[in-house]
Amino acid sequence: MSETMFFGEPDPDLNSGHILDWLEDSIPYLPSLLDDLYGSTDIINDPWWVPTQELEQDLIDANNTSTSNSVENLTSSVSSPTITAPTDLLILSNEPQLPVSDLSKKRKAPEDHMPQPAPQGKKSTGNKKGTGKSTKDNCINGNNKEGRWAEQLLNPCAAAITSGNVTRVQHLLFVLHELASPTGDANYRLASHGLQALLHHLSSSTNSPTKVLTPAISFDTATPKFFQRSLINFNDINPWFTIPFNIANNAILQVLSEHDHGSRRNLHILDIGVSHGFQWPTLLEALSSRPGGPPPLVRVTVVPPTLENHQLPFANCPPGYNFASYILRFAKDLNINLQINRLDNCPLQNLNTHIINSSPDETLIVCAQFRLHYLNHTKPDTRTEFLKLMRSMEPQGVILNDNDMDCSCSNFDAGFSQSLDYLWSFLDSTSVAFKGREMEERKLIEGEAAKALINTFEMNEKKEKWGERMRGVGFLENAFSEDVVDQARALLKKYDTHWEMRVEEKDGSVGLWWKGQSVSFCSLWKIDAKTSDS
Amino acid sequence: MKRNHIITSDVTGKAKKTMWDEEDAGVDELLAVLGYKVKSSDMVDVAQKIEHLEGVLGNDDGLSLLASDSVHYNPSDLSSWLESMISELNPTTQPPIIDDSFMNIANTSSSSSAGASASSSYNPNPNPNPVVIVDSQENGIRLVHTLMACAEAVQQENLALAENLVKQAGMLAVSQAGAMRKVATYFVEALARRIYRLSPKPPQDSPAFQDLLQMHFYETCPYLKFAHFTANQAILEAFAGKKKVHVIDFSMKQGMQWPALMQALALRPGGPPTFRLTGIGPPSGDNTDHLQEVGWKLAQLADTIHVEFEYRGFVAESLADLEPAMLDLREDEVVAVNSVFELHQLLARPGAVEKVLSAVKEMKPEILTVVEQEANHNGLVFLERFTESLHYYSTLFDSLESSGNGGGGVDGGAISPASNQDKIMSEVYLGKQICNVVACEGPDRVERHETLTQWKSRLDSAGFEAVHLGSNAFKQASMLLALFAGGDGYRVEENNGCLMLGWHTRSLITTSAWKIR
Repeated sequence: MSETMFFGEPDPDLNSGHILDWLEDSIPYLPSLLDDLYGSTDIINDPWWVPTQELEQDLIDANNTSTSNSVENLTSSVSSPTITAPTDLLILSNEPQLPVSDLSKKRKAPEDHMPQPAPQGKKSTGNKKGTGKSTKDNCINGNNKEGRWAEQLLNPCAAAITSGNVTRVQHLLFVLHELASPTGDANYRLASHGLQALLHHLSSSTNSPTKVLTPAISFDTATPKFFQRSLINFNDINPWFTIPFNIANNAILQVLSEHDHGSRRNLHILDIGVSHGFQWPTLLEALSSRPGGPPPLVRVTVVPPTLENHQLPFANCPPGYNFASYILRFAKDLNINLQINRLDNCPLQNLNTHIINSSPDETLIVCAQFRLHYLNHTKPDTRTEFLKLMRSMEPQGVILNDNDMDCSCSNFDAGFSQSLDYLWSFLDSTSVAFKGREMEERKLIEGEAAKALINTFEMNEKKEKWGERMRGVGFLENAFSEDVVDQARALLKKYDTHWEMRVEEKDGSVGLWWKGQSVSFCSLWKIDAKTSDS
Repeated sequence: MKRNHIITSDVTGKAKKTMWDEEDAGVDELLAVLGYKVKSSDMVDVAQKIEHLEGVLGNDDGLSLLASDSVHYNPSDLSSWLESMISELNPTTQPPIIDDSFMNIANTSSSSSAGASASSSYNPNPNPNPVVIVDSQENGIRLVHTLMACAEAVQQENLALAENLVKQAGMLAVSQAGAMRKVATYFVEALARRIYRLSPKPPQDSPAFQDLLQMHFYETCPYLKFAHFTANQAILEAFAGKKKVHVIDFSMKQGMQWPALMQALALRPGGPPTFRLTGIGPPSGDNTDHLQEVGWKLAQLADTIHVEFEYRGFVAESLADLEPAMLDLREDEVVAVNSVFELHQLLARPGAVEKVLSAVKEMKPEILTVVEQEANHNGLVFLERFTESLHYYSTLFDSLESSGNGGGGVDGGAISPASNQDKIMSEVYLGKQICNVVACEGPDRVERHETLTQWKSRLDSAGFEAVHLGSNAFKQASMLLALFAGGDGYRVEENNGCLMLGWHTRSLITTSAWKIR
């Protein structure tokens, strides 16, 4: 499989081909180095190398000839008998006293907790595939930052910007330009998105006429059809949203069964989310197959982000995209009485029972997914204000689902680093999901995720902090029912094995993890009876 | 204190493209180190322009395909270069191919980080008139940044990053021309060896092969000639009026230093002294007694010019193994000890230099002549060594390039095949040093060049004091350089009585002379 991936991908590893070429061009004792480096004759049979070399030759030919002249002379002089001696000068070294071996010791230290299938030794003895693959796939080896080289350039650059070190910023921008690429493994992509974000930051931090920069491809600019196809495909191969959606839907059923006790109340969902309607068909299906049938009326009130939040990742959709008609038709087929309302340009802070038109005789469930983290949580604390407001609407349940990330609003480079961490997980898992294939759909989804790097409203918090806030305004955390967790687990099985779900024992929330790193959390909240009277 | 004597013939106004430009106000520090003029004036400005550029390019995916002409950019000033690119991209006419640039980020084509240069130049079915000029200076800037970043990644043990950068640097090196391509290629190779732990282990080459390379180096450029000449001057002055003289040479090699001294002694007013030479060298490794062979040749020469000559070859694994008692020192002779590019190797073995210097003292020399590379390639921090050596060898390769081209050779004409081979072998000679400085560690790292200041304090504490190489030596060295065509760019400098030979502003080797205090 690794082979097909390697050959199947046209571009990202061009580099390793060229290193051979220049070495061959210019170093007299090259052959032994090549043997050491790549240790096999595969290279010759490898269809990947041959055309590259020819092209390289073309390049040299097209170039000023003085360069290639000296190359020829160099190689020809090597064949003269006086200097054929040094073939033995390269001895593959396995001895621990060599410089890098103590590196490997140091590098291993922090990662005791995880198995390391491909230790350093593999590289030194390695063949071409060993070394080539290690760059592309080393992400697979760990839940730590091993092999995540893009951040090793982006973070120092952000830090240099903060400290005002012009020379260093310029140097790192140069280097990022060298390595960044919109294609290739997650590192190249992260470097590319990160570089754009840094340039954006640099140009917007001056008083020059600021322009709002969005990544070239994002939800806002896609065609509705392409947008739809991309999201469906993405949700099919990456559980980033699918699992939260699944948990939310089943939690809605859980709340419903806990509240209506057989009485047939209307269901009202306040949709503050990023699902763009893709979440609801499965819910409607589940409702229609409930014992006793679906609620007499199902209402979905959608609150899209306001215009000023157009950089909130995944929250926007292309102009003209409207999922209501699809869903309504679907509901009709299922004999569900569905009503969809869309509150355009309505800031979250303005919501109230009147605006959402809720009534006491319906079951109101708030579904807040990947949206509330944009609310300011420092000064002014609009986040807590909104949670209070939500409490005042007296919903029967709140499903809170967001990124599980540290607060990142302290300064530019700390926040940038957090966002890179987030984007790494996204790009890495998406790379695995697409099996490394380059597709327009992938670009769209990734471009949308990359908004997190330039969105100044990204104010994430860890799930514990969210819990504190919710409790503080009078909500009580409820555990998801076993059924909810089991169904999500079953669904997750269809995705890559690096994904896992972890149920927090003390509060019952569910976390979604990629390669040992928490990505998002889902929690279920109900009004604290002790506070409901006051 | 420091007198700068610039020996430049400045014969022609020919626009030799040099990596070295001396006006350097406000340039990118990193690039200035290697002689590039890139104004670091305003990074925000640059960033904005880059971004603008990307914006412009991002609007048209097929931009580069429309191109019909090649454009050669010379971005010695990054800022104005970007400006020019932008103005060309907002135009009425068809946009040009930009052979390599920053735009590959915005470019939605599937070109890899190899950059637009790769995607356009490697296109097997290129446009009808696909003349793409790779701008070596632009790529040079990228190359230097990439090399430095790679070394930093090695330093920080970020091997995945280092691996990517070394590959990129390798590609950029290929797109270079001239000295930059060569020196960068050696550095890339050395970095790759360090990253992949393929550092060469001693014994690397037979001494005969090393001697051979050094002879080519001797032929190609004036550094070794200068070294031999200045050391000989000092020795000659120390031997003035003496009847029996004895040179103990730590760096015998092929004995190239001594014919000139013997001739000078032969012409000495009052007749030549008895000349005794002890040549020390490593075992040959192939059972030949090359030290003896060299001695025979020198004896023949001595016979021809009527100098009474006595020779002994002395094989030693290391100079540190040398005991003065072995050398058959005689009461009635005056001793000179000579070492060219040898002492720094002792720094790889703790205590070795001290041991050798104390042995030298026991030899009671009238004079000790030392030639060493004028650089600090023995710092504790890898990144510093790397930076210093990149600077040093870039300069050396640049000077080598100039002596090979046009101005090179006494006849000044076209390059003969032989001189071209000399040049290539000289590059191999220096490339091996680069590899050692960058890829080796511990006792394997023997190219531990240190500066005159460092040697001075070391020799001071060993009980030696500096002997001023007279102004006579300086004048003669200067004359030698002037005679050596291609002296344009070389310069001799006197520093505290020592003589340095450098290329433009950078001193590269130093001859110093010492006596027991």
